[in-house]
Amino acid sequence: MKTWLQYSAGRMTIWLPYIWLLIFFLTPFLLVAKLSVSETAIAQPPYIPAMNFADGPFGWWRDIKKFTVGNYLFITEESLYWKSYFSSLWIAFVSTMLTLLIGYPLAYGMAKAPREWRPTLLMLVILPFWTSFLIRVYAWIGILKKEGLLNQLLLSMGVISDPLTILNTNVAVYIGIVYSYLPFMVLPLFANLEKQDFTLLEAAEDLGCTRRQAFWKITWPLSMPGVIAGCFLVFIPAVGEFVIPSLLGGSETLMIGRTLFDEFFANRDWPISSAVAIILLLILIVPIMMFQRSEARAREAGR
Amino acid sequence: MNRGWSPFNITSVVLGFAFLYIPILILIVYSFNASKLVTVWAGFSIKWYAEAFANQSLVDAAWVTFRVAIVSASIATILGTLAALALTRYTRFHGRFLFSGMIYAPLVMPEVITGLSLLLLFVAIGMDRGMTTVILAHITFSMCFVAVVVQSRLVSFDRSLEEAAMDLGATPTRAFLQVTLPIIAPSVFAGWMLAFTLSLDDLVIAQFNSGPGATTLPMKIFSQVRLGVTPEINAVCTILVAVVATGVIVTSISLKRQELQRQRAEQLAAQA
Amino acid sequence: MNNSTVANRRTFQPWNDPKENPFVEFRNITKRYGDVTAVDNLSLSIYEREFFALLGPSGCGKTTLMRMLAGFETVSEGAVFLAGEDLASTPPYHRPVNMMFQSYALFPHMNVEKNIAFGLKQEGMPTGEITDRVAKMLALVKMEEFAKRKPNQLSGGQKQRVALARSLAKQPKLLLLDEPLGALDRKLREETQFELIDLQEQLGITFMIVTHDQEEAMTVADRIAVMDRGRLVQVDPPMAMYERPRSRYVADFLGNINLIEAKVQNVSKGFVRLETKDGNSLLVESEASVSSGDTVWFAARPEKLQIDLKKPKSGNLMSGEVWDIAYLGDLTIYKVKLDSGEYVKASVLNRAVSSDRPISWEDKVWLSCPNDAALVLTS
Repeated sequence: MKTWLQYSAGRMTIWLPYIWLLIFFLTPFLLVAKLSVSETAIAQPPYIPAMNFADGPFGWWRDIKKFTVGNYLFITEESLYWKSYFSSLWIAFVSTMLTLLIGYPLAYGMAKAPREWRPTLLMLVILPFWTSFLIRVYAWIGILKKEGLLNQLLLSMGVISDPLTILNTNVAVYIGIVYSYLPFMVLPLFANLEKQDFTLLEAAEDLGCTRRQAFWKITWPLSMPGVIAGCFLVFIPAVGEFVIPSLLGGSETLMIGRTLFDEFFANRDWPISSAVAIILLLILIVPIMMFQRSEARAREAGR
Repeated sequence: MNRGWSPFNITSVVLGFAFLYIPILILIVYSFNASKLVTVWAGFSIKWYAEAFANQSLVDAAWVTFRVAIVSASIATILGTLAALALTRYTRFHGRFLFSGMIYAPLVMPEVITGLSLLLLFVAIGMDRGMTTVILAHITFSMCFVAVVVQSRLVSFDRSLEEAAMDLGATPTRAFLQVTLPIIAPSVFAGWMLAFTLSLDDLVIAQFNSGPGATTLPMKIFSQVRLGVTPEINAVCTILVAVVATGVIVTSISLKRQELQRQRAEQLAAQA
Repeated sequence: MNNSTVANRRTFQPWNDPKENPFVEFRNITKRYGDVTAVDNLSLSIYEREFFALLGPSGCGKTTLMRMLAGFETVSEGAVFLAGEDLASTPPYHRPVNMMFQSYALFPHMNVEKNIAFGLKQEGMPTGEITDRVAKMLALVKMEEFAKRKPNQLSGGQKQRVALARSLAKQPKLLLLDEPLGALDRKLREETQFELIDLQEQLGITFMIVTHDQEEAMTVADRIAVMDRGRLVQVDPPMAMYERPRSRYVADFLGNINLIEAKVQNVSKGFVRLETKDGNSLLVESEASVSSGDTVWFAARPEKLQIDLKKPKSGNLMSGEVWDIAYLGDLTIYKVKLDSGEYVKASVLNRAVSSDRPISWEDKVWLSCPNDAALVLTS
């Protein structure tokens, strides 16, 4: 009896979180999938259920025959959706490259800093990550708007004569994404650069490389795993971003997270939003799988 | 061998940190601005803080957010720690692949999808949306973060310590509670902190799953921000930043002090 | 190896030839890190085709000295000359010097071939020539089969060979080796030492090795420099260094030596007479500049001491009791407690196969050594 109790206590460590995730993660996800093939209705909730668990196996089959791909067809036909997907991917890509451009020198400088400073610098990079995402995005509104601080500064320095329109454009979205996700880029890069063997650079110099050549031939290729990890960590969440485009972006800033949100709350079209969500996931699976594989390869090489 | 910091290195670090911190600093500074115009400095004042505290709906939202964060972080920490144990200890069980998939997926899942899917669940089972649904939603996504944080510590945990405890007569449960848990406690606490701040931060998932009377602070801020920047919101944000930053800094300093004390004790022991 | 190189090797003593110009010259070198002086006003000349070893405990400045030659450390004072040219303004990548790193520093993202070709590509050597040179280098270190492997697929010994091939590929005038065999196990290290000697003779390049292993230095080097706290203590060929150390530091650092405090009684015609604390009178052949009454050390290596049960007729004599015996196979070491209470070690080569020991624990024994087998050390 006692051993059985102990056994079940051990199993509890699995079953408790397992069941929780089955109920609150997998089931909702299947509901999204189901709803994406249901028809829209003006009701509360605003859809005709495509499948009813109470119907029994035969009923399920009848329900499955009623599944509709209409929502998906609608998405492919309506330019708003596919434009949102492409624009999300493009904005995420540009922002990722910009983040790399800013993050790499920062991580490199941190890795070169005196050893006793590095933990502090690392903590300073992580700290903003702990402060509210929403607040950090909000902080840029005051800086970027027409009568904002950036324009005031540039005007007073005489760099520009008319205030720039940055807020509510894609540029503001780029800035917001770079700013919010910079720690995600810097952390894997720093971890990689810091543990690189400095004698490799000396060996390269000894064999005739200048410092600049040694960087491009040794440091840069060796930092590739960090670069890849950082880029994926920025790119993947940026594609589905909602807060940044809705606070900093303009009416022409199409991002799928925002489109989905509006579809759901403004148009109350739940089946379409579900179909939008499923396609977004399918799009994200590609980079996620690529990321997983590169991580696995990095672990393999590290062994 | 360090060949020192080149001017280029120093410049990129300084500019990088300036970029990271100046926007938040500006936000904080202007929360003390006497003028209603957020971008014009008109002298020091704390009147916006007074107004924020006088605004009943803001205070209510803060209170809701705080309770949601405390409850969801605590439950998520328990579930996440159990999940981390399951992942590191039980390398073979039925559905492990699905299990680890469900742990990692929410980390990369766009928030709009998590929010939407949970809403559909609550609608399907006929649960009224309110604080409970927000808490359930927050537990679900933050337990995965806790699991990852605790798991990374458990991987390097020396299991022979637990075996030694059992060899000395402790049951597995006691061995876990008396040996393993105290050792992994810092990472469990870090997991709790992470879950707490994630819940404090969350806008999108709460937006989907909250109901009347359960407006969280981020929802409140978001709806106000859409109407424009106000010094009152600056004040609220400053308080939030201050609370979280203090928590993080105090925790990491105390962890650092523990570490230093341990190192000093080891040095003394080595010299003796 | 042909006979002429053997003959050359026998007479190879450029450091004794005043007409020879030094190939490498350190002139009054000082290196400071903040308040710490790593190298202290040091001057040293190394000659072409020499195999030169820098020997010393860790932190004595030997690695710093080598890195100054490679160009990774700047010189605080003084100058380094290579073939008569001041190296001060030459960056590491323009020096005709290559270095083999202690950690090997093989580029992990390149295979063996690419590692070896790296330096040649920097020179802009045509591809065809690079291929030939790489093939030659691989053959030289017997690593042809491993050309396509990545460094993490090689054993320690193989990595060491690739690192050596890479540093030799550019045909440097001077090869620097920083603890090149430190990471290898003992057997492999001994084999590789002989391979290094052969390689150096075959290529005719000047080698400079840094090591803390005195046996390694004795095995490979034409001359050894012993360093202590940033200064050169003694520079000599291995045999002179071992047989005629000029200080207790060198005597103790290289091999084992018995040191017994004594007073100088008189000095005459290249002989010094000493008296130990327990009254033994010892006569040593020595040129040491001492005068009667000085406190000095009588120094004799264990293998120079003869151990007998009966009192020998002549020689420097000391008596004592066998305290410990260590049987090492090839040698037996006796630890003898002298009448003065000091301990002295004597080693005996085990020529004969015998199980019984002629000398055993607590036996009263006599230790003796000829006049020319011991030393008088002052510092």
